[in-house]
Amino acid sequence: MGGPVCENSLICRLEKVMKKYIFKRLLASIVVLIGVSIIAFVLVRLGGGDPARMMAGDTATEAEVEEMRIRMGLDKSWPEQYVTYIKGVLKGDLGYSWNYSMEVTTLLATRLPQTLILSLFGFCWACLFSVIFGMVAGIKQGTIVDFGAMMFAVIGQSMSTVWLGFLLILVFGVKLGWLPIQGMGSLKHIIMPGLCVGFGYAASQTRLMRSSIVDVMREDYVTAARARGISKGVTYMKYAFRNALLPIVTSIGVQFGTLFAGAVVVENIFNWPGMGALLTQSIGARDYQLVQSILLISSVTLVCSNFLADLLYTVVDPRISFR
Amino acid sequence: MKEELIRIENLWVEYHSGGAVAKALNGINLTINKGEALGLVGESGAGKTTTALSIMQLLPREVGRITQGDIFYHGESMLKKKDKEMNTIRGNKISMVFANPLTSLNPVFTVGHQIAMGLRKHQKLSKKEAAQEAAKLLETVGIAKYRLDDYPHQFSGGMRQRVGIAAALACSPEVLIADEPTTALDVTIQAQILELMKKLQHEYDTSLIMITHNLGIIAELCEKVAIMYGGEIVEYGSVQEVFENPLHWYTYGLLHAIPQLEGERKPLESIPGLVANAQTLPEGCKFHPRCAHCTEKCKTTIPTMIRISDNHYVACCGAEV
Repeated sequence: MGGPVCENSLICRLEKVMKKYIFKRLLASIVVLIGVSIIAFVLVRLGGGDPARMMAGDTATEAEVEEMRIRMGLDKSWPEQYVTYIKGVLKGDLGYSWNYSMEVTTLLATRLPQTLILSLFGFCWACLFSVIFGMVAGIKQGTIVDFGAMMFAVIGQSMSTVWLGFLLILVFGVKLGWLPIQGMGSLKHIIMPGLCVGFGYAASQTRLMRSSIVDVMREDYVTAARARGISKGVTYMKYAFRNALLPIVTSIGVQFGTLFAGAVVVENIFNWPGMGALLTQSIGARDYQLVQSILLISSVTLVCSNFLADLLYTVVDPRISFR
Repeated sequence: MKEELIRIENLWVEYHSGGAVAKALNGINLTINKGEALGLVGESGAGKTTTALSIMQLLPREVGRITQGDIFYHGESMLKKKDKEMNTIRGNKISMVFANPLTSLNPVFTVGHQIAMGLRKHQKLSKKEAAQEAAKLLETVGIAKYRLDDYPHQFSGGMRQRVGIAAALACSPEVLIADEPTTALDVTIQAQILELMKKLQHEYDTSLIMITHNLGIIAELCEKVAIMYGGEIVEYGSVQEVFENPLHWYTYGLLHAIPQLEGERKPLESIPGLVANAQTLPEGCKFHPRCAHCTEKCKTTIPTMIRISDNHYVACCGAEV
């Protein structure tokens, strides 16, 4: 049962639980990342094409191509290439991009933050919007607000990001001329791509939040709170809200990963200079190490966001503890 | 004559869901006096919980409607009160213990917080004062006070119901409504909880409305009893009178469905048929399809409550001699 002082204080709970959990989680993450790196390594090579020939140029002779191949280190066997790559990664060297003639690390240092900014922007507005909209819709079940929320959920989930992107560009960029249609620089630039990135997520979360609050409102403990004289507003905002949030928090980890991956498409539509645009170009150019590193970084993001979501979950729900 | 606290007058409640209408309460009259313990007995669906929720004004929104009648508290109509006024009564003057302690405590708040909720709201205590008060209440119901910061899932069912009782008693209410407080608990724990409630009722001089289908609990705790069937009160009186001399055949059936420890062993008598469905209530006496002594009159006439003595009333055509 433990002492009375710190048993349930937040810091204590986290501290106790964290050490063991982090260790376990770290092990699992390493296995996942090794798997991802191998799959990325193999897939990009199975895609066909010869990077050495592409680098050497169309007019190069066989001998020149061979020389290029040796310079690029592609003459060695796959396992050898893999080990060399991984050794580099462990030292913080993500390889060399022959297409851009640059260290991958330097290249990503400028691109990764852009993708993160875009994803986070999309994620944040989607979270805020869906939690509030879903909550209001759930409380006002059966009203016009609720109907609106459900419509939004259906439309948002079934609409393709590409189509939404072009629609936004057409309306707000071309017709109304309110927002810049591509590139980055000001806050205005991020609005349309950010909307696009978070749209599907906002829709699905609105639906989830709505049904969650509807469920929670039927719970005995909500009636019990009312029976203790707590007003309707406080009961919903305080005693039903936190419980209703639980399923949302659970899905945050996976959702952020999906959203991050979805940013690839959006970046291409809006010419956002992030990792997504880089990825499509590098796949076209058979830029092996760049592709591998981008996939690896995406996986690291997914693993991290899942981990953070789990931590968040223990904060919101005292019944959950790590083992 | 004791001071009258709550008077229910000719209360009718309907539940609407989809196209269906369920007549949950069909004109009940009931009075609860100060310091008195009243038992509400009946099978599931008889309208016991609906009566409780009507008093609290917490019938499910949109679905549950009071169509007729009124409930008076200290002579003031509760139905005319605004929700804001009701908030000052709920948990303060009238409070409630729920049937299932596993679901009636919020899993993501500490028990201390949940006990202190009412105190902070009604007595305007600071967080610290409320916590101290909550600790005292926990000890009153037999739980060590250091567990104040624990969460409901760290307690057993019986302990959680103690927490529920502590939360209900926090503001020393005038009326405590206990909605089957022991149904979800083990028999041994039931006895503990009942002892506790009996003790606290006397200590706090609280009026008690005990909702149950367990006649033993009524005999143990209550002075008055109201037997409910099909949303009506069919027999009412002092526990002694009603249990010793049941005049309604339903009460008789209930009493004879209890196993006896003493005397010759006989098969238990069950009441045939199913509990009246509130959506398709029969004409006349609601109980007549299940009554072995049903007459033609029972099928057509709704029996009125007749006075047998000061302490005994019954609504049965057979009793109207």
